[in-house]
Amino acid sequence: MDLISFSAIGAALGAIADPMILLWILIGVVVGLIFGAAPGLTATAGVAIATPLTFGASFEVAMALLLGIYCGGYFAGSIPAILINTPGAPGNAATALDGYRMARRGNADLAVSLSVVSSFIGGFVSILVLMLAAPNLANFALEFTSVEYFALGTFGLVCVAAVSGGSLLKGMIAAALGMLLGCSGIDPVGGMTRLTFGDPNLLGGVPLMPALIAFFAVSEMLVQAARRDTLATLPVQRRVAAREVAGHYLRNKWLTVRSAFIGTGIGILPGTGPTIAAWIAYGESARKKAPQAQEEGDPRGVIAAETANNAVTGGALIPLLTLGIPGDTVTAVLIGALLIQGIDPGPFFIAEKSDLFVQILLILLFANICILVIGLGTRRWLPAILKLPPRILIPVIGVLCATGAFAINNTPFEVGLMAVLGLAGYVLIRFGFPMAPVVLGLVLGPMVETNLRNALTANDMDATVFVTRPIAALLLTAAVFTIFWTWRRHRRA
Amino acid sequence: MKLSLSLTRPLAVAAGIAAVSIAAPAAAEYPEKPVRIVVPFGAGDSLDGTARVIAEQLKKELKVPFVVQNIPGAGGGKGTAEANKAKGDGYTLLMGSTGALTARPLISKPGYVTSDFVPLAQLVEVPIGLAVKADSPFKSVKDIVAAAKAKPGGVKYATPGPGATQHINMEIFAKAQGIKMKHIGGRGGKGAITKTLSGEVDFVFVGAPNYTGLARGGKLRVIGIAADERVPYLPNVPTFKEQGYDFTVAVWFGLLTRKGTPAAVVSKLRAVVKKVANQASTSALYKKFNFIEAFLDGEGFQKRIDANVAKHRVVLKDIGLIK
Repeated sequence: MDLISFSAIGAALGAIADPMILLWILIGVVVGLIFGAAPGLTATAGVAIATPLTFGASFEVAMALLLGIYCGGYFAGSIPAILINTPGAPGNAATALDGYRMARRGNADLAVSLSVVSSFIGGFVSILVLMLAAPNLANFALEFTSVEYFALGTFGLVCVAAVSGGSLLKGMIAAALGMLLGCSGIDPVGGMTRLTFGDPNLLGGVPLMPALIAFFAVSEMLVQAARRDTLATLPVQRRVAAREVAGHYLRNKWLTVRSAFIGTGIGILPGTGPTIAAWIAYGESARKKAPQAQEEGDPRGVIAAETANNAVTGGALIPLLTLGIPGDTVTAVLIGALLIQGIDPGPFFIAEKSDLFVQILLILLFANICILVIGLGTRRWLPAILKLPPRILIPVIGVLCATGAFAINNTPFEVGLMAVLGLAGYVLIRFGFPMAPVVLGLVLGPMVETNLRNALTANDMDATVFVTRPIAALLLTAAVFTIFWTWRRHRRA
Repeated sequence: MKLSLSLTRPLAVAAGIAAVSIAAPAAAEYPEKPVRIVVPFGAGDSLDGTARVIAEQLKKELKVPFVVQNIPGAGGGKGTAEANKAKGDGYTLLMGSTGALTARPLISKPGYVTSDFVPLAQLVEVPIGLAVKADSPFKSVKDIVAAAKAKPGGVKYATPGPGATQHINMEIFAKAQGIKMKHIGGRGGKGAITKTLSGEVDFVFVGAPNYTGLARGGKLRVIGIAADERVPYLPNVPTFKEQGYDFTVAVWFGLLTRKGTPAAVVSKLRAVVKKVANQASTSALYKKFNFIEAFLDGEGFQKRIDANVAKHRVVLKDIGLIK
């Protein structure tokens, strides 16, 4: 805290308390909500599109708009994830697992409320960490070499294969299939092209967003459409009282805190992001899952995934504002916006421009409050969408998915890819394979592969680095224990 | 695989009908509908910012919207391939860059070759610089060369990725000095810098504007700029030439159109791009992004592309990226 003087706080408060700035934050959050909730459009896209609009604006206005979109966008993807099993952004995919099950059993209001409050808590904790420990934590990011990233990726993969329910073997096979999909494109180490079937569209690999829409939304729609009794199965949506929501946090206070720190910590690591954070926190929550929660949806899963997802925001700003290195894709875009303001983010930013740093903190805080108010204010009528009969809802989701896939690059390729992968997902579901490990394999496979190969190259092919470097050894030990523990639980069951 | 959901198809049909019915001199009418500029990198980065400003100014000059479409992936390869699917009519332009245009087609079949595009103008250059961690024993380029000579393969470096301009050119440098070093891709410039700060590699070779904040903050030491002159934002860093190495590398960006574009349209576009590129407001923007203004007209740009391709072909063979 000693870096920030009281005069800086006063100056920043004076600049932010302007009603116009507050309005810009609100506008940002609302735009973010739209970009986050619409499948195919993400917070990254929202911030990128808005950045050129800030070229002529002041620092406060630019940051108000962009950080508002950032926070709103990360949160809002959870709403379609819960209501229609269509994560609005990759970071909200883990929320869909339990959230959608809850919604289908009449608990959409609870799931949405938990997602709103968790997003606020995650965002808030990460702002605190950013404020109190940014310079020290920047060094934490630099502890991570390819060796540690490989270990982290492996741990993430094992977590999800282990907790996704059903057969452990099928979970692992699903993860392997995802990793295979992730091998497509230009080999990130050697530079050669592989598994593109001669199609230049696959040069950049299988894009994540269409795959996500396919494996969650499209395959689920096909499952729903194949089932004839859906008309009768949806129960009446139950309303929840504030006290019940609070009760979940009291019972799961340590899970909430842990998830917030997982999210912030992963946010700090460059090259990661909300997707990995949400899944690892989700894996953490599922370790103590009750068997019946598998079917009904576990509120703990929503709490963990959404807290970690939004905690990435403050975390990812730490390397940006202390080193000039972005912690996730949105902060990468923010560099351009800061340059235009004449600010070259780097090690001196907090020390020299502490008033601007405090402004950023205050904007983030206010943006998170906006999310809380808007989210809790609208949660009652959001589940109304579930009252639509499947014969209307399913085609509407279908159109939404197709437009979402198209919107990614404005090219038809993603739409076709989504259709093919969705069909494949449906077949896998019919054979009892879980979808979550497939998606995670696609996200983490390239991370595991690249870092394994880079780690070995950098260390003269010496594989002992994975056990002699402490962070890597710890993560890999945790991965081994997770497999062992899951295997034992399955044997007992 | 392709569904006909694209809005471009009905638009194209309508435009086609219009073109047939008018059948007047095409160039005089150009442009009569919105023009797309494909930026093969993500929205929001500095190159995208430049493209958007140029688009805005082209719109003012030619009175039709110039729409930026970001198609990131494969170091620019994916978007370049997408631009190559368009008709050669001047309604799809490409913001081309060094690696995607001049190296990628040599390595694999990305769905285009360099000659699929006709250059309109080179716009900017980003000089490449070499930096080490602040506590590194290396104080000059000479130190690095000496260390690599003493222990072949012992010095490791990072660039944005395998096959990137930075990678290819560092290999050119290594070959000229008779040294061997190990390369590790950083998945982008900032990622490569992170690998240096974490001590995973000994030095990083990426665009010099990436270094400014970290150099001033005392985390990185920039020890060589591979340009003819020092860069204004790092005035104390000597060039490779000053240190006795004849070595210059720049990533360049420029506008191109698909081959087959009518000559009249090409010359009209070239004239307008030239006018726009030399406006004061454009220069001011370049400066903010630490780009070096480097306008080359169509012919000059074509010569540069050809020279790059010839040079890359030799090195890519040496490092095993082409057989």
